[in-house]
Amino acid sequence: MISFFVNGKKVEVDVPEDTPLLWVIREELGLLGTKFGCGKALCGSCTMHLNGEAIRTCVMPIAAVAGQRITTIEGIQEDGLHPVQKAWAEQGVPQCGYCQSGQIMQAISFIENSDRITESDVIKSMDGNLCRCGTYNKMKTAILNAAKSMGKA
Amino acid sequence: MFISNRREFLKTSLTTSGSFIVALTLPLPHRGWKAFAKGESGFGHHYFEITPDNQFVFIMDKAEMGQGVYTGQLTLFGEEIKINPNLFQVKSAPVAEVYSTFNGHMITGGSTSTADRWMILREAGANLRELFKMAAAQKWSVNVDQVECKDGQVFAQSGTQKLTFGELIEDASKIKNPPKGKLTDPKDFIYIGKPQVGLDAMEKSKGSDRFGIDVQIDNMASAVVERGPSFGAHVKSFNASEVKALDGVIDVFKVSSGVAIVCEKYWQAMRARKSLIVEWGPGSLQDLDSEGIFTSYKNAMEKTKAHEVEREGEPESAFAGADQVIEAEYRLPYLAHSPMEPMNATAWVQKDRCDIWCPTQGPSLVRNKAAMMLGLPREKVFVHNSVFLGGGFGRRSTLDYVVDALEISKKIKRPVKVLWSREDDTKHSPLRPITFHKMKASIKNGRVTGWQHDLGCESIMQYVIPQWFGLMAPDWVPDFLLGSLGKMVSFFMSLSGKAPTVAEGATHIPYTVENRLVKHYQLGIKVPIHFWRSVGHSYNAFVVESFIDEIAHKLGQDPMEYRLKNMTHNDRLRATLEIAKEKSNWGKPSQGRFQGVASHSSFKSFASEVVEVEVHAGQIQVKKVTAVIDCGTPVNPDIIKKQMESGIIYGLSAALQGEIKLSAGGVDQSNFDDYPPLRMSQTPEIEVHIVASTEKPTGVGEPGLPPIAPAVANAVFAATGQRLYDLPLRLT
Ligand code: FES
Ligand code: FES
Repeated sequence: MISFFVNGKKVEVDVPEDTPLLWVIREELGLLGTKFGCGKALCGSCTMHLNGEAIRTCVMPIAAVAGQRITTIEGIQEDGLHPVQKAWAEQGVPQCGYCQSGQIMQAISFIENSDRITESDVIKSMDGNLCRCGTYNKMKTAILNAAKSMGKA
Repeated sequence: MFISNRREFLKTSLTTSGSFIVALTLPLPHRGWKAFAKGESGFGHHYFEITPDNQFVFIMDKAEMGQGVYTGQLTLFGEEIKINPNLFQVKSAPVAEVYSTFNGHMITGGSTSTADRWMILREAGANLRELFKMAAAQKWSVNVDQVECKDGQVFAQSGTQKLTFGELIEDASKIKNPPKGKLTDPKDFIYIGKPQVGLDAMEKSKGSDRFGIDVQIDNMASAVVERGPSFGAHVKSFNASEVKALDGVIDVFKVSSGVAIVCEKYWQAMRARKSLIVEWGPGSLQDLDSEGIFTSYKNAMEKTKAHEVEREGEPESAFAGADQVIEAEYRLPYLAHSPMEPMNATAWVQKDRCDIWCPTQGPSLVRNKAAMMLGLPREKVFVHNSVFLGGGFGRRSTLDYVVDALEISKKIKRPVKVLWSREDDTKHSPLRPITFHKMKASIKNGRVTGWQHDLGCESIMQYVIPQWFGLMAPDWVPDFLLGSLGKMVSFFMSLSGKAPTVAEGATHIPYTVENRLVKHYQLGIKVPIHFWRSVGHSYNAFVVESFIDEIAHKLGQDPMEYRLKNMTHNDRLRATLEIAKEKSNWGKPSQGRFQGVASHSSFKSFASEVVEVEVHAGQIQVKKVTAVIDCGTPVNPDIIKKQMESGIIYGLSAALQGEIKLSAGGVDQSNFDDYPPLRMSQTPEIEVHIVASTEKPTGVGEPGLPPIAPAVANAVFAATGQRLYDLPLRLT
């Protein structure tokens, strides 16, 4: 049994130690907002937060998060929308939408862990998250808008 | 062609629960109409429903894969029925004849959805609006022009009376001869032409949107399929008992595409797969590699007879009498579509029915394929299409991943979800065909007098038709005939040289040249190929627009001016080029940057793009794109802009770093590390200008792509003096 916290709640799972966190979350815990894109830490679709930091969960063995705090897109805001999600919807960023939960999780951890944000910071911190539909420019605008609304740009 | 004047165009009825439902008849062939006439599916299948408590339910028969069709369709319908598109609930359509539009099939592709429904959905909306107005007017004993509609309510102009559509259902359904509504004057549009963020933006920002990969069915197993190292390889043996003994493994067995491992969970199947050892028999294509294919096309062009796709004037005499002949050869690689959501399908095959949950661009193909494979009547197969597809680009109109799920579910007698890994898709995706081109232009007195394009490329249609024919044929064609008929059609197509889509963009070039010849060569290569975003235009535009640029330079003319001067019979394309010239500040690039231009018409739209590049240490950086599109009446400028950006970025991924290379009959690449889409840091500033127009809307999802690769190559030439003939673009 491995126990850890997901969106503030303690959970216990009985899976081999090297099972990727992504699949524990999706298949054992049934939270489907986080996506699978590459399985090799190459695209960012599977991004969640480990103690508030963005991580690629498709390569994160479950044993490595024992006792720690995981946040998924479902747990990012108790009620209503996170300012980043709000900025996203206002800009109409998503196209197919598939990569977007990973993008949003990446953006949130980056903004929340920064003091002030410039466009080049946005590019640097988002560059590992791929979007096959090419939503990058709208995304950039949304992130800067969100950062502004959070007093960080 | 539209048949909106048919009496059956719009049918309405009441359900037992008191909802008001509406069915439409779509354009040719009139399958929908037939279904009604026979009363087979009747109102079991419909487009639109109003519930007694005034909820509006729209049945979406198109696949939303990021192109905005969901928003587009509701905008057209909402405009005329005067309901804010945001107020509809959307459900995805089952497979039924009423929804067939694409040669009688439910297929989303070819940038056609908005164009095809432009009148149908608006007329349906207008007629319904009129119907409810009439119902209210009768109730209030006033003239119909004294009432107005807004958001599903009818108001009396004179007073305070109002009724919802829901409250008017009974009255509306009693009206015997529903009136024909007048279409809204474009100047009065409230939704069409207004930039609106996609209706799905909120759901997709919350992360509550669901895709095929998220399907959950009771008692569902999870499976992966190991495929061979080369196309056509077959399973000789595998360590079944060893893998079967592993934790969580339900079964391991051979399927037509390879070896399936079935577990309860995907993570278990992934683990088990690491222990699977398969001995593969050599594939029929194991001697094939990309370099060899280019050489074979080149040889074929010297030795074999081609099919002439286009002949105008007397090209041979033009070349014979030329002062100078300009020649060039181009090589373009195979490409995978690589949508972000990996291939997946969930199926439950039972004795007398089959259910399939999958993200697909062609639900009717999926249904008919399952019926054929399982020997079930088509009406016993139920396709539950996902409302959202995690990208398509053509990839999701193939059936490979569906076949996996059907075979496995049949064998294990349980519902099963098959999920391909990224590597599975990169290595086994049906590909955008590899192409080889020889171009020739004759120059006489400083003018181009002759144009010859030799095109080496396999035909997607000839590859796909034997597989699809049986699926597209009507129900009454007996099964034993289907396979052989498909093969025959394909055979006759190849005999007669018919290869639709192969030469699109190579014929009817927008520049006036009196003597032209376009020839097509095929080798009969059996590597799986498929429609890839913008199809034939994706390679022909690169070749034509690169070659024209080279000609302009060799004639000592500015490539923009040369194009404008010679583009004498395509006014709408020329107009986009004029705008691109102005908006991009042509001739005055920013410091350190170089410009390139390309112009191309596809899917009935017109697009011109000017790029600015910088070249540093042999690296090409695209800094800015000024894009102009004329796609007829812009239904939603925000979505058009997004689709242009998307097409440009998809095209840049291919132009700068997209290559699927074949060695020993197998694909070298495997994941996003060796087949990478563009990243944010590589994405240029993209400025999109939409031409104001009142023409019928035309394609938007694809036309932005074809001009981008040649525009970049032309800019690279401006920057370095090096002309690049091969994709992806690499400086030496
Ligand atoms: S799925 Fe984890 S980074 Fe791609
Ligand atoms: S929105 Fe489709 S992959 Fe990013």
